[in-house]
Amino acid sequence: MRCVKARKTISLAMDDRLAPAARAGLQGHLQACPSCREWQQEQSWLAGLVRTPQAIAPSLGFHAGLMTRVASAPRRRPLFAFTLPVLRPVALRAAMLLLLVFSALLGFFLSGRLDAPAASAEMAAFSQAMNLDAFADAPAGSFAAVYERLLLGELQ
Amino acid sequence: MSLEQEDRELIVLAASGDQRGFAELVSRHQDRVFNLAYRYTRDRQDAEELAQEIFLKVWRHAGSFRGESAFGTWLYRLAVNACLNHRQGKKARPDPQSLAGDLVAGTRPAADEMIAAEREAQLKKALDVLPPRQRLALVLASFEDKSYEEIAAAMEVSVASVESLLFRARQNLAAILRPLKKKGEI
Repeated sequence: MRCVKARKTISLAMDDRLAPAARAGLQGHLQACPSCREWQQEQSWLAGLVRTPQAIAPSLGFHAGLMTRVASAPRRRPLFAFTLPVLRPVALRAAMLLLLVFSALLGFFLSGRLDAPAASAEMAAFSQAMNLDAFADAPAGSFAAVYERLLLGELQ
Repeated sequence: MSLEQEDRELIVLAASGDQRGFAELVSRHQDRVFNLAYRYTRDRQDAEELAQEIFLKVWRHAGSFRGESAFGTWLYRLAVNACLNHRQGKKARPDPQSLAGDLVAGTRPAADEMIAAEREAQLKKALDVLPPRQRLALVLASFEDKSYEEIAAAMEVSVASVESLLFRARQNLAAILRPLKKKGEI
């Protein structure tokens, strides 16, 4: 075991996160490595140092001070605040579903009333401008052939 | 009714704007939240400010508690995030005397108190240098008796990240304090 690995293992051992096999491997390394032994002792000392201070209580004015701040604190009103918290995801999904259905219905009605007349009027104007009837006897094939005839002035 | 059920009822009351329900909720959890803040900041005044900020967040966001986890877990996660985002007070407040008082509550002779206060001040300086995530992982592992899995969940990182954060925190702390220890200053 290398020293870096050994020190990582020491860190795990300090939190009781070491399997017995790994612990045995670490012990073997520590017996042979004075530097890592010193690191381990240093970490034990540090752990004791960090574990202070012991639990203490907040000051007597903590609660009252907090409640004064709460009284004047603006609140963010959650979406669907009128429902119970557990029902909020359900309410959100129901609202999304309603929106989806409404959008679909709106699209259905508007497509019949707005798009069709506009499209047909536009198409009529386009046909007239292009004089597409003139191409009625054009040879079946490709647009390229029609375009070529158009360029040569064969078609008006 | 279990404590958890009572907490859930109180947070629903708080979400509806009931300050008395919220006050009761604070009373039940203030020691735990304050001590997490205190161990993270190692300064009573900073800790009170941080703990109040945590509870104000609970008040503001009470409506976002969905009951998918225990209230304590939700609160703890909120507190951990607040610690990570906490910026220490601009004004340096070493106040070793009060820290020593917190540590020993008058049970040691004055000379010992002074030594303990000096040691605490040095340790606080060293911890202040650590990156917030390393520092928080160390606090959670040292004080809160949290498993790596619980720390990972609270910090929203992987267990491997917790292992790494703790190792680097310990390594960095040792590097900072070693010279002071050799000089006998800590």
